[in-house]
Amino acid sequence: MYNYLVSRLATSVVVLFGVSLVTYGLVFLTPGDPARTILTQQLERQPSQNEVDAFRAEQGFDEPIPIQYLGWLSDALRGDLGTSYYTDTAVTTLVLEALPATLELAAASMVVALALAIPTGVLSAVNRGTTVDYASQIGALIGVSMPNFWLGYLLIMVFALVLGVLPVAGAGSFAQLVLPAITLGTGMAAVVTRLVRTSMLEVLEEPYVDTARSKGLRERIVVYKHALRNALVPVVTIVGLQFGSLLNGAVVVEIVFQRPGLGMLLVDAVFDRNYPVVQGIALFTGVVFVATNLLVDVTYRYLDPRVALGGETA
Amino acid sequence: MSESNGALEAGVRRRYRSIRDSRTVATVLSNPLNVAGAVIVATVTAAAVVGPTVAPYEPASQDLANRLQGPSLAHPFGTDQLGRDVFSRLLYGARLSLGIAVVVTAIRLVLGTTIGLVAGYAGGWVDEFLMRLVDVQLAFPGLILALVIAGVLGPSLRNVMIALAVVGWASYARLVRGSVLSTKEREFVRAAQLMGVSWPRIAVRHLLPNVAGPVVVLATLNVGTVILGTAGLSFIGLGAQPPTPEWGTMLSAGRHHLRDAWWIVNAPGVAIMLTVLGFNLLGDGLRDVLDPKQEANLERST
Amino acid sequence: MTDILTVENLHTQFRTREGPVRAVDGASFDVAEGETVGIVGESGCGKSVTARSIVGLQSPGEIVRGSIRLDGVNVPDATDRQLRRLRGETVSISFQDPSRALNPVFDVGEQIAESLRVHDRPESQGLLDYLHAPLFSRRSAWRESRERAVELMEQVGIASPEDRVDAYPHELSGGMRQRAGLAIAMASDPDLLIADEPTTALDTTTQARILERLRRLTDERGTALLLISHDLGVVADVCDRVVVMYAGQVMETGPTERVLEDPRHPYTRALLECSLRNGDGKRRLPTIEGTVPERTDERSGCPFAPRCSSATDACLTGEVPTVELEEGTAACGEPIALAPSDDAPPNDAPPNNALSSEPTPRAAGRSSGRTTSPLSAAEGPPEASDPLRQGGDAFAESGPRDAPSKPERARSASDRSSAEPNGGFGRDSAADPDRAPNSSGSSESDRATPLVALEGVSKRFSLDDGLLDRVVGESRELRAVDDVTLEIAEGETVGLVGESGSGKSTLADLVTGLETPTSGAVRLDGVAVGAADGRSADELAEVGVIFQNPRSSLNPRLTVEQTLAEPMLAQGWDERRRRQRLDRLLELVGLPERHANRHPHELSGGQVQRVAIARAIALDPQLVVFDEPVSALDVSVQARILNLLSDLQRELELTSLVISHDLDVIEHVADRVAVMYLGELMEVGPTDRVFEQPSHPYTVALLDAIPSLDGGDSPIQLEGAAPSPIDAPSGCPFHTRCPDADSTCAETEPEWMDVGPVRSKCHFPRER
Repeated sequence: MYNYLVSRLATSVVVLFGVSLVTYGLVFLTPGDPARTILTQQLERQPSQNEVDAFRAEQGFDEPIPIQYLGWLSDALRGDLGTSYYTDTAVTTLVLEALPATLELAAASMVVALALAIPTGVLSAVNRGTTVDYASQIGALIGVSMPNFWLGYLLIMVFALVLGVLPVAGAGSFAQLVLPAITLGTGMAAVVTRLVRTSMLEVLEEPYVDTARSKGLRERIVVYKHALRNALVPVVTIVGLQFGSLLNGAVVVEIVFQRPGLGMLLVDAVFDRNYPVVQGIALFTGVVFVATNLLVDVTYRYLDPRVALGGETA
Repeated sequence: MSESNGALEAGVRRRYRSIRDSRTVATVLSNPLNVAGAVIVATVTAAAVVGPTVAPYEPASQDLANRLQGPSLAHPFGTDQLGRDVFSRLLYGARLSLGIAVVVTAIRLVLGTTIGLVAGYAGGWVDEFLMRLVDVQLAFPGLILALVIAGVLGPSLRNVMIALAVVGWASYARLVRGSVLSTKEREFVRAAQLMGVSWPRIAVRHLLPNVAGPVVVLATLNVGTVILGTAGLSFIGLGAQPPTPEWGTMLSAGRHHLRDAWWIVNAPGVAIMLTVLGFNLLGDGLRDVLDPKQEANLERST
Repeated sequence: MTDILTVENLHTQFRTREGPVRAVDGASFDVAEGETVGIVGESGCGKSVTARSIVGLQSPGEIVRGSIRLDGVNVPDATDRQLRRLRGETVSISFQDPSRALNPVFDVGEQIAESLRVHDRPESQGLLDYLHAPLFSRRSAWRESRERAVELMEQVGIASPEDRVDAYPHELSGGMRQRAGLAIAMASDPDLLIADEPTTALDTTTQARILERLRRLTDERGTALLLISHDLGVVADVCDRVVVMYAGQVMETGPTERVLEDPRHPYTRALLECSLRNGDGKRRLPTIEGTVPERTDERSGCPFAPRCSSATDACLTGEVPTVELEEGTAACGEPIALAPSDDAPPNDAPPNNALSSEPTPRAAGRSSGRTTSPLSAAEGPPEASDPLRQGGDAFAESGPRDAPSKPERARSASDRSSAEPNGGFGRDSAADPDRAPNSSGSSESDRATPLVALEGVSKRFSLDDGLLDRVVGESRELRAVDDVTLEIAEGETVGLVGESGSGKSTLADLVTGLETPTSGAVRLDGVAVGAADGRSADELAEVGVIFQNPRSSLNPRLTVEQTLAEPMLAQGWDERRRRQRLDRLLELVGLPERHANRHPHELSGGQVQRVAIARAIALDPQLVVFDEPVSALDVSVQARILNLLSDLQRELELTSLVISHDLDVIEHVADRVAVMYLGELMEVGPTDRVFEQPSHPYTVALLDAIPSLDGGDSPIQLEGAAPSPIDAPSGCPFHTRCPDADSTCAETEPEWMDVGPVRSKCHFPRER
């Protein structure tokens, strides 16, 4: 286990290095001279050559690119992601301010998703081929296919505008969390339901399930102890990886519900060409994502004693 | 050369025969869900091909006198805030959405499959390097990376396509590499190796056919994902710019009229959902017959 | 004695796309209290489905008719509650594959403890209690059950159970897992234990110990045992009574001794005939032609009739009567067939026996008149639909070469034995390269260099994976093959035998070039060869390989013809030459020409292996390596493939290396045998001599572990499992399990000793 952790960590460091390269390199995709583009946006007029030169010097754009990168990286490692072009606020501060709203949304969505998905998936598998199964399969497919920005507006129309029971938008209160969490959670629930069902169907065919039955165990214990525990092993992996798609969805959902989270911050920064903020958020999500994957792998090893203590799962 | 052509032809003919007679087709069609998927995909494809010629109105023709009209005979899905016919715009949008999705998926597929094949083949350092590249790509939530790339490149449909293509190839690479590695270890490949069959021939004849199934399934499902991604980025404002009749852009424009014109949001919403649903259903159906695991089952039951 | 189990007219069906398959089709039998009954039959005969039906596990099958009375309850009508009570108190089952029958995510103790708790309090099974949810779980009760689980583990023969109780299934060896499964089954102290193929997945030595334990446990507790096996030897070893099943029906029942010595039903006779250990070493094996039919349609008549040489037209229709014999019953409508076989002892193959290896006139006639047979069109899948097709056509189309007439074969057999006087061909080739082991008797084979020579070959695998391990970790190695020296002369067949994990397959890979030796050299015709990708096409063509699992060794997407063309294309043969060779190959392996366009999934297991063999010999290789050529096949199919091997050996003067864990297979095909243990050769010598007079204690133990049809004598058993090849014992690798070992064995590695014609690596070889 120790050896595995060390080698897994080493891989993660390599990946994170790649992530930082990509993040930093993004700026150079911008058409034209970044300094000029940024200044034009900032000053809302064509900047003079002097202004551009001054800006370049201030931002360190004069240095060779590898030096710039190393400077940026060493700052980033110390938690300094630079300052916003417009407000002079540290990017780290901006990210940390926006983070709670997004985390709150992600956590609530995860709860919604699992609460919906696990029972539905199990029921679907146990009643394979029945109406229950078909209904949940179709429901899950619709959930997967539904763009969550549309689902968000649909929910707003029904619950906020027609029924008037929940607020349209905003963040802070529990009531304001309900619709966004459902919007984001159902999409993920659909994915997980399908996974639980498949996984469960596979496990129910396993001989050890028959062994459990032949002991005289109640079907409930056979299903929820022997089968479910095994079926959840791959589910945990995917749920962990789904965390990334939660962040994807959070961007859109935050815009629909006007929640001031990371997604909102990112979209604003992208349109403002506020590159330090864009880079900061990209790096941050990359790091979070890599860390989640690492955590998932370790959990997986704990859940499934069969996985050898060495070697890669992929 | 002519001989290999002959073999190829014979192969194609045999494949056609086997498709025609096979239980595969029957299996796919025996599930009503698969049929529904095929019908939806066929309908959307038809709309994309002939839609612009049968659309009752020009997508950009404004009629401010008739703005925000509810569904009627003249305007089956109503009109938008500028009096444009929502139904006609949907039809034009079908071509756009589907076209983008197919192109982006094709780029992802070719890029990812190539990288996966090379990694799986070569092994060693090449494999290690390419897989770390895959890891790096997968280390970003897809839409966020696409959003940043599209944003930095500047809002336009072309840039959205580039962004989506760049972020989606890694899953193909992983899938193909995995299949290549496991197929490479199967005894029939080892047998071919021991008989002196050359590596390129082993790749084409033994590896690719056994890798192709899952890739086709992934690509089918991917078309749906790309449609969602394009619509999402356009919704945010990075993709198609008004007045382009893109489904995500249309939905975004309609959000200011949730109270007075619900159809503007819901018409493109339903269109997106149904299209994606169609591809998901079809992909599932294909998985049932193309997945190697499933194939093993078929083998056993005969 | 009262019956604990009565099965009457049981019908269990599967739903498939082609309609219901009648897996069990009117089976009736019973088991008395404390009795030990065996069910035997080929795979696909409905044995396991019967077992599952008895414990009420219907999915995926479904009981459509008949009754199963267990302790006064009719299982098909039982309520869930009654079923749970039956399973918790009356009947237990241990399943076939021990590695899959245990839940991988719970430790063994938990799984046994559960069984104990169900038995104690069948009606108070709280989900939260069983999930060990804090506050809801009765921890003291669980603790107590766990302690009892340790006792049970001890009883089923798990060493140091206190440590193993916390082990997860994957941490145990196959034999240990099977024992754990047995402990789960015995935890409820059942009146009836059903053991479904309890030893099939295990090594011979482990098998013997498990059977012994099973016998002892059921004797001590007076538990009735229903043992299901395809292996007559296993059943003969353990059971009082035998039930022979075929195609879902009971063919014959009776006391084990009577059934083995005086089988009445033609199928039972056939089964006994096929059993390898009935024959002397090199005799051509009797076979049952055709395959078990899959019964999809409604059809009457005896299911065995199409393969039965005693069958009359009456057998094909109508009800089959079950005849009461003096001891037992038999289901057959032909009184002549059922007559006691005084004049035809089953241990020989009388010419008029029901299942002689030759196509009887009757079978041949039927095969040519196939279209008019009432059965031909009726059945579903291609091969099963016409049981006669395979065998009939094989003989019909391959002509006299493949099926020489009897006198001819007798002559070739005697040629062979006269050409190989025991002492002559027995000497080890390393000691005397001049000898002529060629079974064809050709004098040309006196050669200075053997065809294949392994010179001190070792193969080590590094267990460190990952870049980091390689950098920081201490290196661990697995000694798969250790200093093996072995030669194969031209025309000779060498058998390599050993338990799983002994390095047999790695040795084969070294010969074929799939692996390269860490040290030592592999020479082909005197030339050192390397890895397969380093060998030239011509060098590769010199070695043909047949893999263990015929299905996975053929590309499922290629037809037979395409598969066979592969090696020829690699050699750049033109179309005409390929065509000719293809026809010849099909003929050689006994496949009808029209199979050329089929895909592997359209062929039966035996046919697929024939294709694999044809591919291996396509380029006329000098050496053919057979890696477990028949272990994945059914007994009756095994016999046919082994016959094919003998034919090919004779006809093509093949030089071959045959690898098998099955001593019977080796005895049948090999001229010389090499016994392998933990990567090292233990004994090398002429097959007859080694089997009759083994010199190495390990060989003795291996031979003793084979279950015999005579039953009775208790074999010498190996203690414990084989040590891990990662840290192999010092000195003689076998000393940890050897009954003859003393301190010398633990310290010094034995030198090779010559014991007559045999080479033995033992300090104290047994000389008689």
